[in-house]
Amino acid sequence: MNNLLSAEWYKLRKNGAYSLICSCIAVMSVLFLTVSYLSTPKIEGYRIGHTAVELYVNSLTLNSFLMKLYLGILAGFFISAEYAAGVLKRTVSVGQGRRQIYLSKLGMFSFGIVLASLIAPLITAAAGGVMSASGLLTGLGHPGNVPAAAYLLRTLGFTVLFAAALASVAAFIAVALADSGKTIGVALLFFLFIDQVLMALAQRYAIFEKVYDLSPFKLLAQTAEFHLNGGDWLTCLFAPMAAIVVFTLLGISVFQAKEIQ
Amino acid sequence: MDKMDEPEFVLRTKGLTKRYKEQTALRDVDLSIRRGSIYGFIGQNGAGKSTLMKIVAGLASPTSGTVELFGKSGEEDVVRARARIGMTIESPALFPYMTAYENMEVRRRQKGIRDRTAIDRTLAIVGLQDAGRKLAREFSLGMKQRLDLAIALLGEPELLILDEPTNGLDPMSVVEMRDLLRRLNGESGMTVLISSHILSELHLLATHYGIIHRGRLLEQLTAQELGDKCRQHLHIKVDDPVRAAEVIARELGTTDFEAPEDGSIRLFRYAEEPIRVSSVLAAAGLGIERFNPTGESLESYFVRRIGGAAADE
Repeated sequence: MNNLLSAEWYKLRKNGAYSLICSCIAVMSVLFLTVSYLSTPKIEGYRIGHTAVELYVNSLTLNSFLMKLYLGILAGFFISAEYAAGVLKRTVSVGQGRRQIYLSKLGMFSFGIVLASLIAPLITAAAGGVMSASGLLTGLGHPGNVPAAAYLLRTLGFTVLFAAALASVAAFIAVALADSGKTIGVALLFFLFIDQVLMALAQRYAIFEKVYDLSPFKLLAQTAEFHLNGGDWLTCLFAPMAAIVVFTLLGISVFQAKEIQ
Repeated sequence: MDKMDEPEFVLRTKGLTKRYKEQTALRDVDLSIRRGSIYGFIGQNGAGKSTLMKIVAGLASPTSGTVELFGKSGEEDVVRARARIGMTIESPALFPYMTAYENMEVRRRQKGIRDRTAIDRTLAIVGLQDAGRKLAREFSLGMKQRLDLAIALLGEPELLILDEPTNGLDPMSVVEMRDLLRRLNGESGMTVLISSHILSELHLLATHYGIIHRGRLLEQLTAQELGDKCRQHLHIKVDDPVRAAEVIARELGTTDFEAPEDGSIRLFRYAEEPIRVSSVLAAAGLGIERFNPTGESLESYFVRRIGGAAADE
């Protein structure tokens, strides 16, 4: 398993699509900060309006949107493309079971997605801190009555957990479709519109209301709220974990049954 | 495990059958590949060669039947035993955005090979020592094939599975590939399972053959046996084959003949002197029913064998 993880890590580092995605996220974050800063009113030479916390909260919204875009793209280029290139044939015959092969692939894909998902919040948090300290923002700000550091740690932790959950869904799509073009297309549509679909279903059928309330797609937005009660905490912790378990098992069963062409 | 304790056969299948929705790709295949052999797998397109190789490599599951690799037949054991095989199946399997060296590095890590110099050594074996830093997508088809082979060779596998490895290669590269496989087989005792459409190529390389047609393994034979079957000889049918054998031995001074149960004699010497042989037999008062010089190439043997199988169906 360590050998497989080492090979997957090497592939991730060499994957041009992944480097491009990370670079784009970094550029988007800087652009976001710049536009946010420049769009605030200027009074007597000082821009007022945003605090560092406000910028950070907004960056979380941007981050979840970007994640929905790059999940499918990376799943297509990192997982499905191996079917087309034929390299999966060789991986499968390496002397490890299909379960281990899938888990190593999913593990490193999730790790890549998690790293990418931290770029925007970390850049915004760091830049927000520097900008507020140098007087470019109207201060650090307060996330409700929660200490800023605790809020930062909590949201970063949830970002990691939800990124891993959504990565398990994207990996499942990639393995099921086994074609990078289809994976990118289907995953984009899925992640961009699953909220609306579940919402529409929830309005018509009561059961989907519960599904929607517990889906990581809806809960991801909730994690940015300043105040979470005990129930919200548990839901935000266990719903993505359940998604990881369910989609990992689904992915393993599909991968085990699949003939590698 | 000591070499002496290694099983005689590196690969054996028993009753291997693979069915797709409306098609049976393999039917009850019992194949055996002896350690140290070069096994030429012959069959038309769609005969089932690639399907069998895919099942052995773990890319597809059989509908029924078993695969035994290096003497191991349990499901988990077979999975582990696959670490001892190298393979190239169908088109070259490469990461186009990586260099040749990086493609090798992925495999080195997958197999847990600690010695990084193994990459350069293996690239040198296939003649790509100067192309390690070049992107795989910039390679010609022949170079891709060679890199694919280098990846398969990394870690010195005991069984090398090659599916049509000379497809798209120029004649010089075909010769180089043949020499390389022969060297690997001779020096390290690597067993090779190779399929090819170019039967004359296989004929120069293989020590054993398996002929597959429409999913059925029609025949397995050694190069010696095939040579005997294809050897130039006089096919003689007489009214008294026992006496004819005595006459040939006495008058022509040779025992280089076979007397199959069908009552005929296959005389391997004097194939170039049919008149002398017929005269001797006639002088001994034997009635000659059939007398014709014969012998065939691997191609014609294969065509005849497949033709016979088709007629039986």
